[in-house]
Amino acid sequence: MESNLDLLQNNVEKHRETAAVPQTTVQNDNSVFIGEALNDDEKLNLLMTDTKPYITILVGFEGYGKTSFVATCYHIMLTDGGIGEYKFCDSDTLVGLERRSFLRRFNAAMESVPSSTKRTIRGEAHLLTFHLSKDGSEKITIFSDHSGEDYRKYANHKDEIKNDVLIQNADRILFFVDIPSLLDTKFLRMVQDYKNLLSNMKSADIFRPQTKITLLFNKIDIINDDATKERYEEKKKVLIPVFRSIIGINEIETIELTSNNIDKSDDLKSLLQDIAQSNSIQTWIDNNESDLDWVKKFIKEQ
Amino acid sequence: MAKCLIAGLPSAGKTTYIAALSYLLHNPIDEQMLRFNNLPDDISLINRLQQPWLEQKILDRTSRGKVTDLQLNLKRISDKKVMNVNIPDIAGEDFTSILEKQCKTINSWNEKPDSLLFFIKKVPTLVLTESFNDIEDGHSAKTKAPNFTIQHIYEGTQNVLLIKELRRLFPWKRIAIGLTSWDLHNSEEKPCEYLRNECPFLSNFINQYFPEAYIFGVSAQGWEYDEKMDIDECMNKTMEGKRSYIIDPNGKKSYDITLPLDYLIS
Repeated sequence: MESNLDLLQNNVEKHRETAAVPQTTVQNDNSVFIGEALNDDEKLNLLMTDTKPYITILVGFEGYGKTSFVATCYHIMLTDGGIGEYKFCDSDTLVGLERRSFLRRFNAAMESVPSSTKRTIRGEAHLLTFHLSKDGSEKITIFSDHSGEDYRKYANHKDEIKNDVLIQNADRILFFVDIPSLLDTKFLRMVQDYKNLLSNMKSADIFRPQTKITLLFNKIDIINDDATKERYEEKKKVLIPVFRSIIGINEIETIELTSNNIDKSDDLKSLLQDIAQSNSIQTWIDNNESDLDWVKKFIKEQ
Repeated sequence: MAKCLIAGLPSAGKTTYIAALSYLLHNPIDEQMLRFNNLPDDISLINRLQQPWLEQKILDRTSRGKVTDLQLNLKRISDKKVMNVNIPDIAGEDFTSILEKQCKTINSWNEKPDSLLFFIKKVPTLVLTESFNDIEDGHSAKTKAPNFTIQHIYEGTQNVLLIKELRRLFPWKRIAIGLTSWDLHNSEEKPCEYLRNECPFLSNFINQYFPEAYIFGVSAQGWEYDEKMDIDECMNKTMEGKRSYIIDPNGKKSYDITLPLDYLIS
């Protein structure tokens, strides 16, 4: 009996005869476990795929809820077995996803732990994959979950973002907006940080027409009275135009959710389903010519 | 020689199955598919495996770092085919260590199996609970970050990681998945349906990559060893060959626990 894994593995081994690992256990060399998140964009070359995977980039500063978002997506995939018509059948980065789940629980239970300590745990690679199947055929969707510090670096140093191959190949960018920060004295800093980041992204040509941009207002559950609601709407009216003007689009999709609440995750599920059923319509862009597009090369060589 | 690797996380029931299997081979029942062709000259290993099972005692955990090879010369009744089967007993902790990239014991095992008999005992349904109950209580737990360890990884995920890594290490062709302690599940479902309901991700993984996998339920111990158990009934069932049973992929109960092995070596 030849399993599907054999067939898939054979394809990869044609390309990489010396590869010792099947594509479904792509290794992060510096990790403790197998199946860690991947730290190197070129590791994507080892993934089993004959088309460019759909790439979703989670963008936001420290504490905005990106990791909780991924952990909740993973939770939904595990407990429901998938999303919509798509079954969750594998990931190259299962331990990376488990680490985020761990961190999410850790954050919830240990509010008093200094954030610097949490970020130490967070010293994590950023690439996460979900293999989804529908009627037996398989596709991969990729999440990039960089730390908030990385985005601060991208905001502060113009050229840093140009080295991020994945973000330049994004099909969807989710900008996380932390509602507690939006409502308090951190608001102006948030606006300034995003202005800097968006400008640097714009100059790196990251916003292409095909790239879907979404503003994700996270932790909506803290808004529980009319006064807060009114203040929230006012702040949104300031922030959204900043995104519109710098990115250069008239309409921008906005979603409100609470990324760490499994019991109230309908909006998150809708978003996850939309991501799962989306296919990349883009081809790889690799300004550094780093051999990212192995599939295209592989086809040419045949 | 057919070589079958029996694998699973700690306490999955590997050794218990081997004990029940060796007893059944030694004391065959009528409908049994596989039987001893020749008893080994030295049956001390078989006896050692069977003894605690016969005495209704929890089997000792297999020692880490040791591979106990059980060599069986078997004959299939249906076609009289004779085959040698090598079944190693390896500790679950050694399999877990594979996930931590430390697999000296597995790597030191020179045999390359044709097939994998993989046991799963517990398929927890509740995962990623909101509360974080697995860190220590007290002040230190509130101020110090716990280390992420293998224990923090959901068991369903550990099983997927282990199957994938065993696949990478050994080019086995067939896989049978045994859901152990079936008598405790109180389930009327087929084993594959049970797996799909209890751990959909693991079920999806197996269906996607190993659609022909033989998924079965198994109760090798047959009884919960507690004060309520009827010792004599257990002994009688043992002698009748009706203590251990499997639920085959079609949901049919059979006392012939050699059936998964027969599938794997066919």
